[in-house]
Amino acid sequence: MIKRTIPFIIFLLILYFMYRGLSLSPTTIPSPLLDKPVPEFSLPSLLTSEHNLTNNSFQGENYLINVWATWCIGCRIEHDYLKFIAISSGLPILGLNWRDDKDLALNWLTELGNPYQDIAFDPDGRVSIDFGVYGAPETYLVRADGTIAYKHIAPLNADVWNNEFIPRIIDLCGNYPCD
Amino acid sequence: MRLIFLAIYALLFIPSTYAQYIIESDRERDLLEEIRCLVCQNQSLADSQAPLAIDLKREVRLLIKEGYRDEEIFNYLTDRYGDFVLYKPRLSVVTLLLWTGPFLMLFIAILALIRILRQSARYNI
Repeated sequence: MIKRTIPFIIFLLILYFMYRGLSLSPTTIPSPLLDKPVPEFSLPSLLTSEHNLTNNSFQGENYLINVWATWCIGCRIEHDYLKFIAISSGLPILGLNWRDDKDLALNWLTELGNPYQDIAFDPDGRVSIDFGVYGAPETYLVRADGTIAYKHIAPLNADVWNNEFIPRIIDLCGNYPCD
Repeated sequence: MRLIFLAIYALLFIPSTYAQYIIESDRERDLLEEIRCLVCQNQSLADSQAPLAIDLKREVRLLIKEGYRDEEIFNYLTDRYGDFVLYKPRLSVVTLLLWTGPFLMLFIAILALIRILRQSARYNI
């Protein structure tokens, strides 16, 4: 009897792993940066040529970092929602403009509106490599102490925001919107 | 018409590396073939011409020139992109079964084979 059931159990095990494999997505890669400090950087601001932005620019408050570019279709899709977050969440958004053209990027902001408090301009993508960026748009939730609490890859929408971000923001700020 | 076909045919034979990035050394090629392009995940950096892949190739070349060892270059990449960026998984607690699994299976198969052979030998006598 046992002899007969062992192959069946093995078969069920294989079936379980294969079934699980169907729902695992190879495109969601856990970021090694979670709970680590924001990578050190110093980049010019896209908005003014007068100052540089660094990993310490927003330190002391909880904030969001949003990686975007004008060539990125997902960024255009999420843009309206990002503007909504900018006015409703109480969190400042630091933009990280990735491999882009300055004029195109500025045009995009005048045309579609600017949800960002400030934007770091990274045309050659070196700082974005330190962030482990591989698919824009990416959004990071950063704690006041400068460590990364969460990273989301793909456009933001109400579903992602309500389920993934708001609970974590409540953990950090005590309530939502954050103040 | 024939000329157009010929031109298209000729295009097929332009190696993709000529397009934007030319690999300089054997070591660079060996390294790049071990690194996954995260944009097109079934390609190595050596094969990929995605913008991010070109940035990463440039970075790897820079690290080679600065005298980094292979292990240090892999660490540089996994610190940023995680273990997934390497084609050859590292030996760790998580990947232990992955590395030893085939040998375990072989061991079990040999045990089963010995048993079956012994049994059939007994019946034959």
